[in-house]
Amino acid sequence: MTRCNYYELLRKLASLAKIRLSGEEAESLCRDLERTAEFLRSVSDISKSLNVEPLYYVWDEWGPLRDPGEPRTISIADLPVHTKDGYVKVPWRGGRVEEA
Amino acid sequence: MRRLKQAWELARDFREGVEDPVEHAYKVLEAISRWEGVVNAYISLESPDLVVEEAERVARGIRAGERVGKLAGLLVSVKDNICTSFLPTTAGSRMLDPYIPPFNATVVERLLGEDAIIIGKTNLDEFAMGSTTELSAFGPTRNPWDPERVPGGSSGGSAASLAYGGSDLSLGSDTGGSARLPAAYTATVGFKPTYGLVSRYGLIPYGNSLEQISPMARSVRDVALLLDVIGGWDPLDATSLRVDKPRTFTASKADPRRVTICIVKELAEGADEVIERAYWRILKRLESEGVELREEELPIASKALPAYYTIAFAEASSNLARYDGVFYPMKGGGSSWEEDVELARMKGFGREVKKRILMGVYALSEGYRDEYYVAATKIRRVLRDEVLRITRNCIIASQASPILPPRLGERLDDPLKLYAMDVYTVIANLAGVPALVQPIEFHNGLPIGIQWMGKPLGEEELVSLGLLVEELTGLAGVVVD
Repeated sequence: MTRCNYYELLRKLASLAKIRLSGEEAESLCRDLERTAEFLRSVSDISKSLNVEPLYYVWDEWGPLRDPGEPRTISIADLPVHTKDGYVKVPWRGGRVEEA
Repeated sequence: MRRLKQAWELARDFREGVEDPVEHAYKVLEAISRWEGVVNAYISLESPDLVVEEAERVARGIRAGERVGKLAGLLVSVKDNICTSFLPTTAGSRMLDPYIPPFNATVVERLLGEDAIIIGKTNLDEFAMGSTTELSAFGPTRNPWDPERVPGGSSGGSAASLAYGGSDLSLGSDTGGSARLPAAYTATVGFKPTYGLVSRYGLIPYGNSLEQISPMARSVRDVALLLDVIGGWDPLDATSLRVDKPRTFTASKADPRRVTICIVKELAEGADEVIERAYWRILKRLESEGVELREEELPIASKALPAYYTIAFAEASSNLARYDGVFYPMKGGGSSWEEDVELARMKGFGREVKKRILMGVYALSEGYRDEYYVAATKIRRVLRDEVLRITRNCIIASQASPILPPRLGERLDDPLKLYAMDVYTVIANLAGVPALVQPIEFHNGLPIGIQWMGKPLGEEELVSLGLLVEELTGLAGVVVD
């Protein structure tokens, strides 16, 4: 366990993600985390030289596929799982929604 | 290997009374009972009696001269991360076993609206996080072409069901190559549409800025048929594009003299030698038919894989936060709410899912966000712009996979080896463009595929080129013997 430099970080991340890890699992995940983080960090260096804005939605600002005049939201009223009172039925364990 | 009738031909023959949907249903059920014990393509299967009953209903309708849908009598398998209210939807996870959604995904409604018979839900890597279909809580799926090898992932169950004749058509999903890699490994066709062309309503989310539900089949014409049915605007998906329904089924085979293919150096190199040789053979063949080959460069492609995984992990950590042991089947059984959540997530998620959530939390956390997530999204912008520039004038020819289908377990010991399998496919997801993988050759009994990437909403051009290639290879409709 002590050989993995990311153990403290792993503990914090697991707490934030609300995932309890067994000892053995923590050990192997720690090694994977170390290795994967190193791999992903390679995006950091190159991005510093890129003078561009982040892209979160692939057709953002790309005209032909966007219709900026239209609202891009979903109304709860559109969902087929709402009740007469306007509540949304939650998909309970193994259950089916009864007709509203 | 043997050839089956293509699904569109079958559907036509059902309508014309040349083939009987009931007899066909029995044949498919027979293939399932012969292969499932080895392959494990399905997590849940519809009752055989119900399948036959449905086929009889279709047959009666046809005999009575009723108007039937485009998919009438066809047996369609659906990846188990797509919601169905009549079969459990587990996403390959203990967390959702046995979850029965209260609604059907839009794509499922559209299949049923065209009289398709949904035969079962196919296996996948847990929450679609994987490239081999070994990481399912319901056991690995094996490749029908060689059961010691994987079928690719995460839509490996869908591809395998097609490869042994256990379904006529299939729906997969593709976040970074999850429909295309299995297609390359099983001699089937996988088609990731333009981002937003197919509704994601009812798709259990993993990386929602990247993924699309994707048609899979044994021929190019068949994936086109399926795309036309499931595609088009859906008011229930905010990222659904307001465009007309796709019309790719009627596309004609491309005239080679009017096709330009771009060979992007970074997407042509780096694969195993047998795969590179197959790639160049089909391109030279196309050139000899009159296709123009042009060279292009995409230097940012070398950063596509880490950028893709950073974004996918970040989105996964957010999307999977909903599994808290309250609303879904897995319960923690702790003495407090906090403990209940932690225990449910400990018991419900597999190792790979936990790792991706933890990496996503890391990439989004204060102090690291700029270094990881924001950096990745900047690379995504540059890559998208470059891919849009290239695909404006040509279709990109790319490898589909750097390797032949690996043996079970071969790629699991090292996460980076597993991720590297997606090196050619993640680019289409980052750029949002359509991409089609189809078989071109066999090497020692194992399939090799090629990938075509087009411009946004350029699905019809890809189908036209795919039909041309299919005519040259003669590999439409192949299944294992």
